[in-house]
Amino acid sequence: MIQNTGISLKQKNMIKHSSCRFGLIKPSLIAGILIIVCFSINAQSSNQSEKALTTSTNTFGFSTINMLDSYLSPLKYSGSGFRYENDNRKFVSPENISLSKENHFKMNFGLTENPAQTSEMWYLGMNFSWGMHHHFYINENLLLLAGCLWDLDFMGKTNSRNQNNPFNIDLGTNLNLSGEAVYRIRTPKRMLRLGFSMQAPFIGVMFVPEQGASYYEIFELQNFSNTLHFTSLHNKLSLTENLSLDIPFNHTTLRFGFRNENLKFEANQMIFKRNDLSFHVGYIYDFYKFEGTKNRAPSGFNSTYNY
Amino acid sequence: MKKHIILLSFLGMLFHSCMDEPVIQPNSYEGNFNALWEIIDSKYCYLDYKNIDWDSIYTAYHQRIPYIKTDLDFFDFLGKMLEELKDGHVNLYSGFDVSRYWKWYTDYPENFSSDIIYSDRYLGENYRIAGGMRYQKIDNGNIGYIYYGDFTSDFSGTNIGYIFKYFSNCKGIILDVRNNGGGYMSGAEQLASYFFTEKTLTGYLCHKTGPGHTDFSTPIKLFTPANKNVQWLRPVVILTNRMTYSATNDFVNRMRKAPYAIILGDKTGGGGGMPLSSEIPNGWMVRVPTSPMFDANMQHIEWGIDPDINIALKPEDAARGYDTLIERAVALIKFL
Repeated sequence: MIQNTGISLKQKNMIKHSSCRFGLIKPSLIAGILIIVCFSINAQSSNQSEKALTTSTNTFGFSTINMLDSYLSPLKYSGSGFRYENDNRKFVSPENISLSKENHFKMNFGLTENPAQTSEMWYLGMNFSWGMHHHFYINENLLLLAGCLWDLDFMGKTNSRNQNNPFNIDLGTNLNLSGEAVYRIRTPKRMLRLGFSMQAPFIGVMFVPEQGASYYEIFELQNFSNTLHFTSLHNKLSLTENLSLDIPFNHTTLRFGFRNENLKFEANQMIFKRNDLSFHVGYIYDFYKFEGTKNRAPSGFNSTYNY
Repeated sequence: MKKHIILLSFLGMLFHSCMDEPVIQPNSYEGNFNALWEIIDSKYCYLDYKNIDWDSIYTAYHQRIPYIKTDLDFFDFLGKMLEELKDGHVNLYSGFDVSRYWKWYTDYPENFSSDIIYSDRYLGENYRIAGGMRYQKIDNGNIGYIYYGDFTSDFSGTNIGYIFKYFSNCKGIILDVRNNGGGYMSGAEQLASYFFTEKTLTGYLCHKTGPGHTDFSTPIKLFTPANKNVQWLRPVVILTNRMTYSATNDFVNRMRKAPYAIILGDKTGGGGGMPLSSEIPNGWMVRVPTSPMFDANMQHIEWGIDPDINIALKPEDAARGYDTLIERAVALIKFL
């Protein structure tokens, strides 16, 4: 979005400068030039249809985490970890800039300890999500997005000290409501982009073992009874908030941000909780994907694959 | 709009109240005592079966807390309370000690001598080892003898195949699991599978589903499959004693249904409850059985399994370097 807007503003400025110069040139010459320009513009339009670029964001973060997993321990564990996130978003069609589709991949891992620091719990989480957002252009600086995301969520936790319940898996799939606000801040040198997004699941399915069941019984004896649960606001509450600031530089656009994830769910008379606060840094770029036989790269694009 | 916001806030509070977090006890003697008591009260699977009045134990022990001055005393105090459960699977682990209940075998004759089984009459010096199993031909090569002392020692079908091939000219084998305190449940099932000709129902398992003393899941059937590649279809005598415990207890329970198996020795030590781990605020870990196991007739195996032939190690035999159980097993196989 930033780059698209940047280009259009640049074009406007060029036209403005050009018209100033045009005032000094003879009318016949102007008419001739205009005809040539019009023809060239027509020629360009007919050769190049609009393309929807994919905006990709990669962020790396450091988080502090608190978690309660009643299957593994009745105590709250706290610690820190790392996270990586890749987001891709593009308009559904180049002509329709009010609807975008996107996919996200998140990964985080880290180490937590019990309050007495006598036991450690490792965690590794992954989340894949796909969805769409509707774009509401409130004014030239403010953009609001509302949409829906479907996700697959996984977090494995292991408490190596435990016997017969040494690990647990938070496994679920959710339909999430998602909202985002973007505000462009114009400074003399560059245009910053301040973003705030929120996401919350409202319906889904999750896996939760029964409190006395060993993983031997669940996985080796394959007794999955009462481990799958329908989820909604009555037994699963989660809110992810993300505050970010994008700063464009000469050759890259960097993102700095904070993320706050709160998750709490209940099943089989056990409570599970996770609070994750992270600071992240990332970079943003737009790209266009050439693939297959119908969407091959035009001449001028070299590829090691299609050499 | 204002009404909607109030309604949403109210719903939010309602949802939060539906998921009240468990109270975490403070890290004090009182708090840790309460936490441990609650863990046993809500998770331990044999309170009713063993007729333990856990509430009265709380009353009896709680009043002693003010007199405890050191962590060591507190650990011993909690260990004493856990002893009331009479369960070898219940342990408290601190950085300086592990509480345990061992009377399930210390109150009984051992019926096992390591010196004797490693003597030349049985394993000798040149025994072979495969997958944690020590094996040798005894009685002039007529009988195969295997000692397996730990179900945490992994073995494979290849290991067992080699052992059975080595014993191919033997009339039967003796599988000695005395002093085997258990290990992997999957190992118990796997080892038993080499002695079955068809998939057989050998027991049941359930688990605690909630804090109530009677909150249990519907028992599921435990089958012992027949191994497709390796099978021993001749007599096998399983030797047991009181230290045959936990996963080994489950193995013996399975072998009761094996077509050519005879259980010989002392009653096993039991340990029919599969333990899960928990912890108290000071970081000490506690191991608590939450999944009781049953035999094929839905009878608890927590207190052990009676052998088909009950026989003890005679001191006079031991003095001569004879293992009464092995000698009886040899005679039995020859007779069959």
